[in-house]
Amino acid sequence: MASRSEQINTILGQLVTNNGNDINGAALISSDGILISSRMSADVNADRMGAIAATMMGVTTRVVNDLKIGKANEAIVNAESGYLLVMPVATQMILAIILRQHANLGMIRIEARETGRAIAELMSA
Amino acid sequence: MVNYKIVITGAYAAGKSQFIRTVSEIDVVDTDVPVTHTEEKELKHHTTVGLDFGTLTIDAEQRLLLFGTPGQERFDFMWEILAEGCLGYIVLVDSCRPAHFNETIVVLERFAAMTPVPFVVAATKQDLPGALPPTYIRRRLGLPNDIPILACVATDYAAVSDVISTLLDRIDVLAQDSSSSPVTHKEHSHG
Repeated sequence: MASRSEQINTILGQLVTNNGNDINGAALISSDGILISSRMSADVNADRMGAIAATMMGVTTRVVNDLKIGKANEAIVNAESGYLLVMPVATQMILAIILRQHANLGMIRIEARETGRAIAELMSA
Repeated sequence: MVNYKIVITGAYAAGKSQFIRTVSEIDVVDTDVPVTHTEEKELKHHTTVGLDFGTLTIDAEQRLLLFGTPGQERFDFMWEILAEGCLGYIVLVDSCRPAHFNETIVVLERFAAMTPVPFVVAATKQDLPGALPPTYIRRRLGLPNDIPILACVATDYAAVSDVISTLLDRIDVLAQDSSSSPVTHKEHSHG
């Protein structure tokens, strides 16, 4: 039986490989910014990624609270040569995904939600 | 590898970003933007609006993740976001600007209200002429005697490491205190 962290790594791996070249990396981070698991390309420092994604999620949560528009489902940064998507998953965790330019954002948002559900299931097991 | 989250905070232009840059092993994530506010510009030209982030390895098993906050009170929401889950925090205070000690008092009060974790204070810019002694700063900040306040120069590796190890000692001591709680003592004396 694979350990929980191995299982998380497998789930992230599936997300990355299922989407061809669209995903450059994915990471699971605790809401206080500590990396739990990552599938990142070597040129991205995963620890820094964790700190940044958690801050982005924190700011997003703060924004939606201030605007009174309910719970934050995700935040997407659309940049010149790619995207960053962050979303809260399970309890006090964040899924961060780096997408390449022209990636199929719609499809990946659906897959990301499924990945989030799989992680939540694993964590509650 | 176990990661420990430590927050570096303090009022505007206390040296927080430099403090992290001095000891971090990785290129520091910074979110500096040019200062536009005239009064703030008198102190420096770039300021942190999001966070600074660096890492510092202690030994083969333990590593610190250093999260630096913005200094201006208008970014206080970032203080809450960055303080989540931290094991301890360091409050930097500019030793040369007594007129701004009130801003440090605000930071101290807000952090104490947010989290009960241990903290230490570092009086920075001690290499500059006109730097006030830590004992005086302690009085001006109304800092209790059991909270360490250390003289510091944020560009100096040894000084920064010293502040960080003082915080780590404090975290250890308080953790031991709480593990030998009165309840446990009673059980022992009865047994």
